[in-house]
Amino acid sequence: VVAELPDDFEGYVAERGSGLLRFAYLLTGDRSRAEDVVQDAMVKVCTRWDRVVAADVPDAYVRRIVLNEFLRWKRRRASHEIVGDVLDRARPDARDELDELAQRDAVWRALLKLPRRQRSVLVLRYYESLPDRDIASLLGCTEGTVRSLASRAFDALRRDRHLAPDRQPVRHREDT
Amino acid sequence: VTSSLEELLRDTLHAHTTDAPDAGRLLVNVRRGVERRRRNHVAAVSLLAAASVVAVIMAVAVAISVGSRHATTPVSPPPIVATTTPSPSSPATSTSTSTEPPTTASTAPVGVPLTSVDWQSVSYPLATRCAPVGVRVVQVAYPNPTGNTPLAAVLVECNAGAGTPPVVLYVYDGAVSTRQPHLASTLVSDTDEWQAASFSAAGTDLTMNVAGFSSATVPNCCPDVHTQLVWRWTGSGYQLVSTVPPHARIPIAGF
Repeated sequence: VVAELPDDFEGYVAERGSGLLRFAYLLTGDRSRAEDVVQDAMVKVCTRWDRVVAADVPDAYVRRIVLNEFLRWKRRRASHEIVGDVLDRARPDARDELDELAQRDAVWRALLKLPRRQRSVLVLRYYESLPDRDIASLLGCTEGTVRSLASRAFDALRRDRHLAPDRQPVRHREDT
Repeated sequence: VTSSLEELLRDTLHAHTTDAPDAGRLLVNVRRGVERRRRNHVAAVSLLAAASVVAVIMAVAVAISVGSRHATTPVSPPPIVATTTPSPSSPATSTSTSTEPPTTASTAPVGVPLTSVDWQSVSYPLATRCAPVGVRVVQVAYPNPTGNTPLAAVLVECNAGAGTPPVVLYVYDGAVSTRQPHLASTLVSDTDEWQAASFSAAGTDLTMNVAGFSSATVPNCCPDVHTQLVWRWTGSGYQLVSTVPPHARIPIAGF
């Protein structure tokens, strides 16, 4: 038995599904988890479709549900997550030739190691191009907190040893 | 440095969107998810409704039974059908002045009172079928149909994490220890596939509202056979005095 959904909801999923999956993939860094997050979110959206349609900015409303699913989902599975070391070991040693591709790869890996709220801020700011005010509203915090999360995220990225192509201390520390 | 890192970050995020999953299956999966959610919702609502109906029926039954007790005292209904008598009657309490037929709890062990039994720790026959989830005690009542026949009626079911497992209703007539009561009879077996939330013991009767399925094609969420089972004490045991509607005995996965 398959549920019959409002036509305009099905149209919405068909039209915006890809965009939401891209957003979720950047948050989760995992294809199947991104699908789970978006599916769960869209089921919720469907059950409150009237409210979504009535919202001033339906897209923002839906994005908030996806984001909440991701944050909630992360909390649910945080204890099973293995990101850090495994990724470090799996990483190809591109330190000597950090071309653009390798740099992106390094940034991506570093992003996956960030706490979920920090990663959310970076995705919302640099992929969705949202102002901090909107990000604060989505995350339910103040703009100051958004700036602080972003700042900590950048600190972590800068500290990431794979993102320091011309910083000798990184190699020295490893060599000694 | 931050500016270049921001650029790099922006490039990285946009470049990785090409790895995002395809939206081809999204709509189908969302439809399934919505359907599943609706089914769960219907199941929850019907369970609530069934519980309310049971509560109302039981309240009415209790009210009627209290009313009838007040109207005609004492009540000593004649045994309707003789049940299998486990052994010749040998009333232990000869001083009994009751006008009831002689009680025959002869096989009942003498040890501790039934009310001191730790029902959660008892090893029930159902346990082998419930492994590994174990047995959950739903309700315990201590009927005393003659005034000197202390019994314990225990409603149990498998400790299932989801769904509504069938219940089993045991009657115990004594206990050698707080963990070893003596089983007198099994009024409802798990193979009867009845679902129930509770039962009531009043006077000589045990009453339980149960739900079951008319056929194997009825979804587990929504039992469609509802009836009231009534057992009456006949002097040697409880005898079913209500009619049982035909119902399917559905093997439920895991039980």
